[in-house]
Amino acid sequence: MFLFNSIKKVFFSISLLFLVLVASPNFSQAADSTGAPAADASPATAGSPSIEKGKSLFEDNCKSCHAIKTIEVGPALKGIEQRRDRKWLHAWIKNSQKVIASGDPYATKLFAEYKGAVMTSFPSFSDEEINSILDYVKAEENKKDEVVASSGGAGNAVKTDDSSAGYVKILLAGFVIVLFLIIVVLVLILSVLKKNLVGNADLTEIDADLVNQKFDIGVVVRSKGFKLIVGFLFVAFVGKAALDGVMHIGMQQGYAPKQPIAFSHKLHAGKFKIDCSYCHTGVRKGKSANIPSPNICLNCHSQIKTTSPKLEALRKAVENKRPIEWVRVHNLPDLAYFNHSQHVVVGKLECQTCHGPVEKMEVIQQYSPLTMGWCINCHRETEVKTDGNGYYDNLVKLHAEKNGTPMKVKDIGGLECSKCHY
Amino acid sequence: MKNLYRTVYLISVGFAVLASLSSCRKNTDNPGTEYASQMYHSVPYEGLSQVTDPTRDDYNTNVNNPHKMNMREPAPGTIKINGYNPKVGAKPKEDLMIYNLTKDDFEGAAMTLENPIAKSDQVIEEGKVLFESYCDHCHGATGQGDGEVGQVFKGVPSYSKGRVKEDKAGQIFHTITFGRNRMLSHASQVSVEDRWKIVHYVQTLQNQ
Repeated sequence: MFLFNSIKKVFFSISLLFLVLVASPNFSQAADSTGAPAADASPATAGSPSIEKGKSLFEDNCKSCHAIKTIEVGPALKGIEQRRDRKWLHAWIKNSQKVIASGDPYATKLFAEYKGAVMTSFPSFSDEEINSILDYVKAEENKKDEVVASSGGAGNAVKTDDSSAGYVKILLAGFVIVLFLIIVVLVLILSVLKKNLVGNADLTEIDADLVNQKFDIGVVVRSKGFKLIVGFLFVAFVGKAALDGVMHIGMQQGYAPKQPIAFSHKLHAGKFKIDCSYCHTGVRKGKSANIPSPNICLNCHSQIKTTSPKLEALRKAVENKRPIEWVRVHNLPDLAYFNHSQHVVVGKLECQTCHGPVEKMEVIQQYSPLTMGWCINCHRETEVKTDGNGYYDNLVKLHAEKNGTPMKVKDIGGLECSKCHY
Repeated sequence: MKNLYRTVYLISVGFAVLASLSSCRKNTDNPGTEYASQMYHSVPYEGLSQVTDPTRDDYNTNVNNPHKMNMREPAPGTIKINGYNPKVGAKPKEDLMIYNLTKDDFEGAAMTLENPIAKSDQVIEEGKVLFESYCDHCHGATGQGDGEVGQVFKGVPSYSKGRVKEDKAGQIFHTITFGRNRMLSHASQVSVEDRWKIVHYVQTLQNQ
């Protein structure tokens, strides 16, 4: 009971301390606002219409670049009114470039600090609207502390969840080691027991046989059956290896070379859901799907992970105007013609049909064999997607008249040699 | 005692064999044997493939280009043939080639540029497909700036609220062509025609 009481006490004092800490900035704020300029006529209270209006204005216009407590694109807005008065802020929000051009030292410094990022001008805002936004910011900066504090525990819980996959592996490895040790211990026990029993005269006949039994591996090895099995296994393994080697000449399935940048399709296409054709721009337009040039990487990496050492090669390529030398993975022989746009636009195929689950690949690899047999097989099985494609109307009609089966790629010349080899 | 050693020895050998078999993995860095490499690699210079080893028969690297590249950037001022709409006597606004604005002339874009592609349900549908390829990972499926990349990239505005809602067709086209604020130019990825189709779809998102 005593223990329980003391824990309660400790908790109480911690929360009290916490409350004091949270509340103290509010007090200082209140003291400051009394000395604020005239534009700050009526300090709005939480939930008032002014703050509600400010909230919607903030979310529609400011939120994409500003947060209250953290630096996003632009500075954190917490305590903005301690740094600048409202008159200055009105001028800045309406036209920040004008303030900078006027030679205002604070504005020039700020502009340089954010590397010349231009804040969008909002000339259409009325004074009242800007005031409501500032009221909202002020109300929000007081409130935010509590939210951050209460979400601390949840964040930790998520973190431990993440590493559970690693634990499973360690656990499995532990089990294997324990099992191996158990076998060793059992063998040791067996041998000790046997040793004790060997000289014992009280044993029955059967037990004595069991104890004195000798396991001679030589007899087993020399037996006909053993030789036959080993011989068969050897021929089978060597034969299969040789056959595989011959069959895989010129076939590069599973080829996953090391690239100059460890680009992860799993991250870009999987987690961030960037469409394949955003980078592989040629896929709907021509023969090749294209490997993106550095300017396409920069569309995002101008802002994201700009200092990552993994992207050193990208920065160098941009700096020296030299392409990144990606290693080509899909090397279709020049003797065969393949066109991406034909398959993706007309054939309406998904990229994954041939390239496999790219969005799950950490390192890109050739998923399909890209052999002629593989191409032909698909042409035999796949129906032509004729819906909404006027080009095929007559063909579909004629095909249906002649034979009632669905029109496959093979029926429109998908097996002709010269379609791909010319 | 001799038996015991033999048993332990056999068990260990068994484990070693199992372990070595399980670590047998194909070398993924090697494309394997090529039977007839002269037939596999293009003799003419091909953009996306290069054989850079001069001792090979199928060496096909262009020594005259910078960095021995097989592809080159187009000469400055080049106009893509399908970005050009050579209608005789067409009004300047109808001709895509007239697009001579500079990056900073965002206001001018609103006045001089008009969508040359007529609005129709089919065009909007095509614009939607293109939007899903080129825009939605940042701007979000409904243009709220909440795409997976947009949340990390930061500073992506909503189409239907705030200042972007007021952008005219020409300004949306101008933004895709030259970029705006943190967004960079997407002209190398999206053709002129596709950009105008995307503009139609973005306008439906502005008015949602």
